[in-house]
Amino acid sequence: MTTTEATPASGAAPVPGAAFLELRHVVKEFPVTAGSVLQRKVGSVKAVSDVSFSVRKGETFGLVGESGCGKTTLGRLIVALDTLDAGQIWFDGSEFSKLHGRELRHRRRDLQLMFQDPYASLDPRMRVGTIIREPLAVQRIGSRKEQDARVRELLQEVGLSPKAVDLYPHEFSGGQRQRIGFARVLTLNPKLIVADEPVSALDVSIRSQILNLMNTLQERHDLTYIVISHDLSVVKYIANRIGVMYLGKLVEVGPSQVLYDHAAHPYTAGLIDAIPIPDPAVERNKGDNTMQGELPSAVNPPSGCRFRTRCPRVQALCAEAEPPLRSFGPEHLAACHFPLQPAA
Amino acid sequence: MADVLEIESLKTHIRQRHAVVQAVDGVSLTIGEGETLGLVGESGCGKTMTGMSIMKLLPPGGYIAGGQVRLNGRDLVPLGEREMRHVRGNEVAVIFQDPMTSLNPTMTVGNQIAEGVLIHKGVNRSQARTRALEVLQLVGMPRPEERINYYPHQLSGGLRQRVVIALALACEPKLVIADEPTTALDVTIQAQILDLLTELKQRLKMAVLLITHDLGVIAGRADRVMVMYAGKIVETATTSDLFANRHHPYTEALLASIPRLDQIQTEPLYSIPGLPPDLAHPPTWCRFQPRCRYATQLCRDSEPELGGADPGHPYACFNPVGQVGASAPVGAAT
Repeated sequence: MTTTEATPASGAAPVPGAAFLELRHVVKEFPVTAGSVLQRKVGSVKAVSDVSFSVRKGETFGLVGESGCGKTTLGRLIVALDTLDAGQIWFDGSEFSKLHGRELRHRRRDLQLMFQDPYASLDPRMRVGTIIREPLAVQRIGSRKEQDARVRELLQEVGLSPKAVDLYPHEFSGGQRQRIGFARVLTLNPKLIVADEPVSALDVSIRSQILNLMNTLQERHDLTYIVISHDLSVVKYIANRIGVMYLGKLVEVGPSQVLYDHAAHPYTAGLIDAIPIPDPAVERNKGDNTMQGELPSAVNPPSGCRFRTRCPRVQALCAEAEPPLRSFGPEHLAACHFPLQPAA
Repeated sequence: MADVLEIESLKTHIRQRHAVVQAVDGVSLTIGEGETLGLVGESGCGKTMTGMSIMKLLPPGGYIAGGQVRLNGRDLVPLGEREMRHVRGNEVAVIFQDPMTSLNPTMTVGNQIAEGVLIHKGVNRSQARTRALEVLQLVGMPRPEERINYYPHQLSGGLRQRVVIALALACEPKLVIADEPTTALDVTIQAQILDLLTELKQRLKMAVLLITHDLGVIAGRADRVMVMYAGKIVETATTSDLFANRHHPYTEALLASIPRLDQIQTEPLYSIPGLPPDLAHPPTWCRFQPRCRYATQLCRDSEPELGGADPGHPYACFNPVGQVGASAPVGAAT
């Protein structure tokens, strides 16, 4: 694992072993149709537009942005729950986005998706043991006895009692359910877990338990995480590097601390500024730089820079040309014509 | 500052099939004109039930078992349903959490706002509509003349929450209960909505009860804070005092479990072990004791009352933070 910079412009074949997961110019659009019978296509929602980045083995990559910025769609594309319209996704040395049928099904066990809402993502009519065993049954791994042993091992791993096997999800609290979710995700020994808002449905005290559990599991199993969240303080705590998305575009990517201390994109700076800090002195001295307006429609995104309609630094150029991702230091890229930091 | 709302020893219970849940157990509070009181706690601690007890909008089986809720001196507890209807939306208004579900999807936003004005203010249709337009302008709705004819689904989450606020303000209530007003919104929109609420509160001199689980929201917007745990107030103080000198171990633990922006990644977050008690069978000892790092035998024998040396900053704890056995502060707390 040597240099693994997210170089969006490179078209060369990936060096095997360089990046664990690499997205190259990934595009996903959803058609917007009109009419009840003919369903004419009248436009498309540009959910993910030309996104490239790479993730190393064993690291945690955070993906942040407002609702509707395409971060969840990107997560679904990574775990192959949706197909790309253009671009490539390379995972562990092969082009994952090209796989089909049996091969895809077999390789899929390496990638797992962890859901946000522990109340909606567990089948209320299945016992916890069955829920955790299901992936083993689907992938036909081991005998029934071996599967049972694995389920007990997993429950212990995530800090639940073996008695949980015979209980139903409603008998657990939100935090415990999220632990069940993790046990299910770990069943097949995945290499990469995409966690979509893993703690946003939980109370603060429970949230920290789950974040600590995620860190422990990562160390123990050499897991790679992609954590999708709108909560920057959570992502900052758990991620090594962060990618910031705005309206389907990756606008800035860099090491977490660098992004917080020296954000180059005005959107990143605005997002950081909007986090309510539990300290009255800080919170009251913030001044009046609340970001104005709302996310524009992804059906007709603004020309040039997509953030220009809400940007405090907007100039004429922003409407004419789309800013390319430029380097602002080691592993730090941002797409802005008038950045807050000098380009490297 | 005249007190708009005074709650005294409020007890709200919910009758269930096999038990009675004591959701709110002896809460007292006051809010003055133009003041924001933050009520903070985790899910199930009774903060929403406290807010809904003021409106007397309780879930099936819910009833007020004791105490007084005085709005401008008048006790609301003995009032009947008819009289309460004049209070709700008129003198007290609620801003709910989720703007997706708290608006009527089959009515235009203008008609929804006008409906309340028509019922409470004895005006005619065109006057009510004029008032609806006025409040839409007040809450900063862009292009209000056009948006007044929109249905809720035509608006984004942030604009819908502005409609919910407009709806709450239309009759110029004296008290606004904002129950997690920004939890369903993105951070950038959250900041806009909270700015708006603060500005309107100052301009209209309303009293605001801000119910939230987010201490960050409290830090920036509340004048005073009450921390609630398992149906009881465990600590209360002015916002700056509470954040600077927390006395109750629960307040300390809550603050320490939030990842701070300057938090070092390798250091695990503080987490509160265990779960809150079952309020159908509340313990006779300190309710936080099983999860508390400072608990002693005394905490297992009896229940602490709100008190302490400073009448402006009472707390309910035998072993307050920084006094007995509390050698080092928890986690990254400073």
